[in-house]
Amino acid sequence: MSDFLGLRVGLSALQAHKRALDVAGQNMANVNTVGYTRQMANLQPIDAASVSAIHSNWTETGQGVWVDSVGRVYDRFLQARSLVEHAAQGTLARTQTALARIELGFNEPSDDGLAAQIADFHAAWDDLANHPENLAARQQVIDRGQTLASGLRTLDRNLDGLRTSTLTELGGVVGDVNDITRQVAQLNRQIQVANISGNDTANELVDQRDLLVGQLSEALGATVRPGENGAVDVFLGGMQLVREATAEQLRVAVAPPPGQTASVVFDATGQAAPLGGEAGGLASVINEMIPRYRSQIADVTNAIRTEVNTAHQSGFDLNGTAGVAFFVMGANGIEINSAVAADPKLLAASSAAGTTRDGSVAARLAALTGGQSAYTSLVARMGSEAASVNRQLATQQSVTTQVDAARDSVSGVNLDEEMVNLVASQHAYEAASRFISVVDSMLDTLINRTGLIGR
Amino acid sequence: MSLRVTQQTIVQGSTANLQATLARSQRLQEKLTSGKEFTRPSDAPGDVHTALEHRASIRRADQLLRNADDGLAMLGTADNALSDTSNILKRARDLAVQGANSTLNQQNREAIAVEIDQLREQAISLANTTYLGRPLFSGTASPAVGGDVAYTSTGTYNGNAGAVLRTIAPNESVQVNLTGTDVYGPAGSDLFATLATLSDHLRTAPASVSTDLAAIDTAFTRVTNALATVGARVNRVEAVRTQTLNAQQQQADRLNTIESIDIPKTIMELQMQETAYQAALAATAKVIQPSLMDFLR
Repeated sequence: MSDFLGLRVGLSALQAHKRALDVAGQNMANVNTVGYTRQMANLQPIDAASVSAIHSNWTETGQGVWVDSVGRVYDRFLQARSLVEHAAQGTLARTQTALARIELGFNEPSDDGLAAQIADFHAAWDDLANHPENLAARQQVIDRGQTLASGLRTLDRNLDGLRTSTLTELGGVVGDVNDITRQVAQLNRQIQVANISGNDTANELVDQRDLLVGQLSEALGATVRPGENGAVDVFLGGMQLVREATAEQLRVAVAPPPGQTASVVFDATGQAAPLGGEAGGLASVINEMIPRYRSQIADVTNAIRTEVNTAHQSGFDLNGTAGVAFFVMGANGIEINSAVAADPKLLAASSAAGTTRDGSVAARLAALTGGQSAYTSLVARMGSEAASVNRQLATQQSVTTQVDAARDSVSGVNLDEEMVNLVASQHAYEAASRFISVVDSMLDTLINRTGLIGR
Repeated sequence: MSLRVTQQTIVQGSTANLQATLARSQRLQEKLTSGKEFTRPSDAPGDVHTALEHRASIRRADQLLRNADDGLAMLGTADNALSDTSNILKRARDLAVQGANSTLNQQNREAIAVEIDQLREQAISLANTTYLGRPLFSGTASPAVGGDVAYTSTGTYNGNAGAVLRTIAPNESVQVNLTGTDVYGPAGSDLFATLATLSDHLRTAPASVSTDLAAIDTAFTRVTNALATVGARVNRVEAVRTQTLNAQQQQADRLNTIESIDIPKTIMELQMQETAYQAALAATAKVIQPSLMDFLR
């Protein structure tokens, strides 16, 4: 053995603990960095010569310590779980936002929502029933009918506007996603290069990439599978979005009318991508929720139109002619028959020709309740759906928070812990220094103080 | 698995908790300032459904009350016209009794006949009493071509037998008119024909005057019956009106119970939230403050 082995052991300890100290410093520096995963210096003893040979008689200790690697401390399963929960939360959050906007559009319960407009419309018929020949009462029926028709049209138009803005949002999400997939592919390449060259600096790149992958899964419900040399492959359903250093691009496609369903497709192949996350939420708002509410509003509109028209057509107007349709469907939705709107005398209030002072048909129109109850139950159904999505979102949020906390409890930086590591490394460093000076003084004794006899 | 606690989790946890407390406070403040238990359907879907139904009923009741008031006004006008008519008939009967007296000379009978003619005109004018421009006793007929009256000056009925109805409660309507036939009798033998015959007999056939008394009595009975009918209908409308008013009040109360907040309770809750918020703030300040660094050298 070499007499100088001790110095080498001491030196290796100095270097290793200095490195561990640096890692603690890096951790502390990134205590508030989003997506940072705490690192740990893995110290390994340097073996004594491990290759035994015949007649070899190595009885010495090992040769010191070295930093085998600086690893990221993380739990892959918690990481995957976090991706799934964030995707679910993304879907719910977008659904909830859309429902909240639909709810606002209804403006119920209030004194000027559609429920009030329906009630006012029927009340106007009662006033007409009381005074069938009064032109002011007739005009009032027409005015309130117009308010009601425009209220119904506005509800539908609001939903159409919501569809347009949701489509824009989906486009925004897809644009971001395209950006992110490119970055992920680029980082994959850098990480592979670093890993192949045996460079530890890839840790920070991996953190960055995992942060981006998290965003991808929140936006799209993407899942990951580890690839070669530290790269990851990103999947949408079973379809590959990022493969090592290559990224697919996505775009929004809208089917031709009347369906006009929106989907996200792969730019290159035109194949529809299975969606989750925010994009999935937005797509289901566009393709399912908004059409559903529009058709329910159309049902309410039809209920009102049919019951009013049926009653109105059974009556006779001021000229003694049988009543015409009161509401008609125009290009933009329900409206008052333009002939009636132009001439209040055409309102059919009486039950027979020549009895213009009879208001029994108007009284029947005033007592109709079909439209009101259809509308009330639509509002109640919408309220239940919104309330249920609100609850689901709250639950999902707490689940996501817990999973994130569990992940952070593995990967996050704790300052006290790092302080302890710091102190430990410092003490180890000091001890190694002391060890070197002991060896030094031993060598000094050996070299300078030994064999002085006879000088 | 015991969780490691990290600086990030502490910060995130504290922020989330503070946010949650603050959100609850904000919700309570929203309730207090709006005075409403819910402002959108998702706050309480079931209650919103009930509230919408109550609101619709309350609005409907408003209109029913308007209908009832209108009906009462119409019935009141009819009542006045009918009691005036009954007075005319009383006077006509007195005159007929006088005219039947054989001691009167022709001149006296002529004077009585003139008065009877005038009474007939008055009765016709009362029969043409209008309510808001429409003759009360002409049923539901359209305005007549010669003039918008129930009876022409010659006593011809322009109206029909149509009933004018007012909806005073859900599925309940009451007739608020009496047709000319109801009040004055069938054409040809109605009140006006009776009076015309009487004046004719006074002038030309005094001996037949006594026979007209029976016809006048019949007419009088018709008018009195009509008065009784009007009275009964007024009672019915008023009774239903009171019921509607009470029901509306009850519904408003119920709506209030559902929609409006319990102010003392909400203020208490807000106070508790504030206390919780302060505690959370204090705890956060305490938790984040100390670290191992405070104790190392």
